Amino acid sequence: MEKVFEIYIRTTPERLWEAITDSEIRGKYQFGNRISSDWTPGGRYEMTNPGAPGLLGEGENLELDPPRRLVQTMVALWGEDVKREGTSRVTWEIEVGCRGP
Amino acid sequence: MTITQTTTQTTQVYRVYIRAGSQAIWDAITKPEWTDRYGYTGRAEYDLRPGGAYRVHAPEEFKAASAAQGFECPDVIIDGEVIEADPSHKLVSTFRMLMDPDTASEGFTRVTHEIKDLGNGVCSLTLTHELDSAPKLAALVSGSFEDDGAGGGHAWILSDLKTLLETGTAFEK
Repeated sequence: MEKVFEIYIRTTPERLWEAITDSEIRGKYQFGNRISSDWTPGGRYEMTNPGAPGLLGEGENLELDPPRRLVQTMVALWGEDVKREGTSRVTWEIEVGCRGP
Repeated sequence: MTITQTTTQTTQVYRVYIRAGSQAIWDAITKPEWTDRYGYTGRAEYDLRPGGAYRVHAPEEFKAASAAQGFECPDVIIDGEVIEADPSHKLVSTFRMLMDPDTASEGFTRVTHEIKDLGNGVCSLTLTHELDSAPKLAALVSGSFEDDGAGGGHAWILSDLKTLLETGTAFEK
């Protein structure tokens, strides 16, 4: 199963990349979650929240092409039910510009 | 603030969360003085009762661009009929794209707008487009022809609507 979410944002690719990978900014819009990683190909990342014990999620950065493309594996760890579902895959793609016809 | 896009051939679902009231979102969808400010900027006319007419008029720049490419853009580019209108909550209407003969010949499809007030100054807006027997229109509204200058379809329109209501200016001013 694949789900695609698409949104157009008045910003720059660099700023958007930062909003996805910077822990401070991420925390402002994703339930206060923090994300830590060295952001290298093959490197791991961890998702935590100051209000929750342990890891909420973790995974590997498979592909990094800032500020265009980020491919990650994701293992959700916030509950036994989601843990059992194992590893999923998240791809972020940033494209510049869309103008109307 | 997410656009949900379920890509199936026949029904497309898009959702966006907007920091605005349900009445403001309803007005932005149904009033021409709002619809000409975002997305494809065509002026929409809704007769908001079951059986009432729905029309979108071509913006002048559409007509000019079409003329430059050697074909005539009709004045009414979308037509349809209101099926259900529950102000600030739900709008169901049929939808036929008349911009080109291919989409026009696919006939009427069905669009549902649903607004839910989440109670914290934020509403969700869900657009469901039932596109049975309308593959050409389905491709168009999913943004498949974006690289050809046809715009980003529903995801783009809803993003622009959100941006306009939240910031006061749309992508293209």
